[in-house]
Amino acid sequence: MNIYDEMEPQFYHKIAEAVGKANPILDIGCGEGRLTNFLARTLGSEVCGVDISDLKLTKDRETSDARDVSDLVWFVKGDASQLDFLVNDSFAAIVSIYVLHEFMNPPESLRELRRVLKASGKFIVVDFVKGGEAERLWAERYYTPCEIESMLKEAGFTDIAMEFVYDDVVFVTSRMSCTRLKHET
Amino acid sequence: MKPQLLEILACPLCKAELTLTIMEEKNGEVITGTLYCQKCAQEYPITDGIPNLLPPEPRVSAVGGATGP
Repeated sequence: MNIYDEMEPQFYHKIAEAVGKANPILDIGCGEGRLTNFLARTLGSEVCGVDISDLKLTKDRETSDARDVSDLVWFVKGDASQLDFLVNDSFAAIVSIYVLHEFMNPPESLRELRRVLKASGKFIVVDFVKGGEAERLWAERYYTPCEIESMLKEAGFTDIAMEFVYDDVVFVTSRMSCTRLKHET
Repeated sequence: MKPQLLEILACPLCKAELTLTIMEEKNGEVITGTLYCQKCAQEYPITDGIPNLLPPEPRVSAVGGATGP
């Protein structure tokens, strides 16, 4: 277990706090669904977890934690970067942990997230940033906090607030603006 | 999957509505079945209660979750 795994429960609580009463919630790139189940159990909200890996999803559904909240949790096997399989205005909040940096085309993926988010819906991002320990561990490309903020702004998110929750992990909250962009209608 | 989930699901190719066919159901949840798009004549399987909405040929850029921790 690395430091990021150890800190995950802390991040989950912070995400739940930021989501508040927003319902339903979309958890993109949900992996084994730990956050998906945590949010359903903690908030009593409906949570949809999307991941491309069926092995991870199947494993998750077999845990006792998952059974406790099975009425509130749904899983869909799909591409988190291309949400064509979800209709517009479906969710009051979208959460993502360690996913933003994986998008091949962030502007396009963020536009898709906006599309499925209800007006004024919340978008919460937790991700690594450039130049930290995670970059040395996994040799992936991460963004600077400024780059993340710019991407969100360009995609039409507002009320962007960002804080470091660890040396190289940022916690970002934002909202979808009330007005849709022209191409989204 | 819960049949209500159909309300927010669409065909990933054309975004049209999908038609649910239930083959196995347990406690109000669809365990095995299909989601069918009439427009594309494309079928999406539901296995172990999870609908697979990946397009027939998943895109190269497909993202599931973190590869980090």
